[in-house]
Amino acid sequence: MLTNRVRELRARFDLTQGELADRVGVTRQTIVSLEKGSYTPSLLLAMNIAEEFEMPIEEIFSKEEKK
Amino acid sequence: MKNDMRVTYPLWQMGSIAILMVLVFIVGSSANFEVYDEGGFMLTFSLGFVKGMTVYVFLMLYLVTLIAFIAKVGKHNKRFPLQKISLLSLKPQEYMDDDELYQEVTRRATQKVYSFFSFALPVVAVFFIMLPISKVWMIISILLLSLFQYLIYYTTIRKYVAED
Repeated sequence: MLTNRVRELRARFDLTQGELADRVGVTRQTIVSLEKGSYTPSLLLAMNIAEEFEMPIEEIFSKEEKK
Repeated sequence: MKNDMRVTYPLWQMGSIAILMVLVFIVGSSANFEVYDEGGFMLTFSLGFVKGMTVYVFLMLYLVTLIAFIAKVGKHNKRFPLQKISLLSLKPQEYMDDDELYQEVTRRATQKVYSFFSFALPVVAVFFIMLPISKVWMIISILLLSLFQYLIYYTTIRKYVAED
């Protein structure tokens, strides 16, 4: 399972879900699902998000082992 | 995604199908089809007061649903000019491909519907062959399959779009 820090970083960068969605070229619903962990993004979207937050991709997305 | 009619589109289809099922059942079970040896045929309906009124009420209901549906489509198209619903298109209007999440959700929903039909169609076909089922019940069975198709699609889509 892929976990992410999108919600935390979005708050730090003072962005709404809609604003982040516009910047990375997806719908707000995608950001909602991403933050809830119910959707695993494509590599391209993950890279776009990393670029937006100016951070390496692995610092935003990490793999969590299944229990 | 609130007010996006592409999400509720299957519900409208299900409503229309349910009304059609009632109409098919009443009209079909009241029809008498006679074929003459010398050629020609005669189709008669004997509805009676209760059945006649029920057909009238459901026809009116169907008409009202149709008008409300067209009005809702117009409203949707004004609100979402980039995701217009076309009533003349052959593409199912409930498909959503706005971005990668929606493409994935649509894929999952259509996959479930495909799995349902690959199982249900042969089962229904066997029943039609093995049992003396009338044409009315055959039509109702097909409508029922169609209703389930939209139900599966809607419940799958809803899981994702209800997360707002």
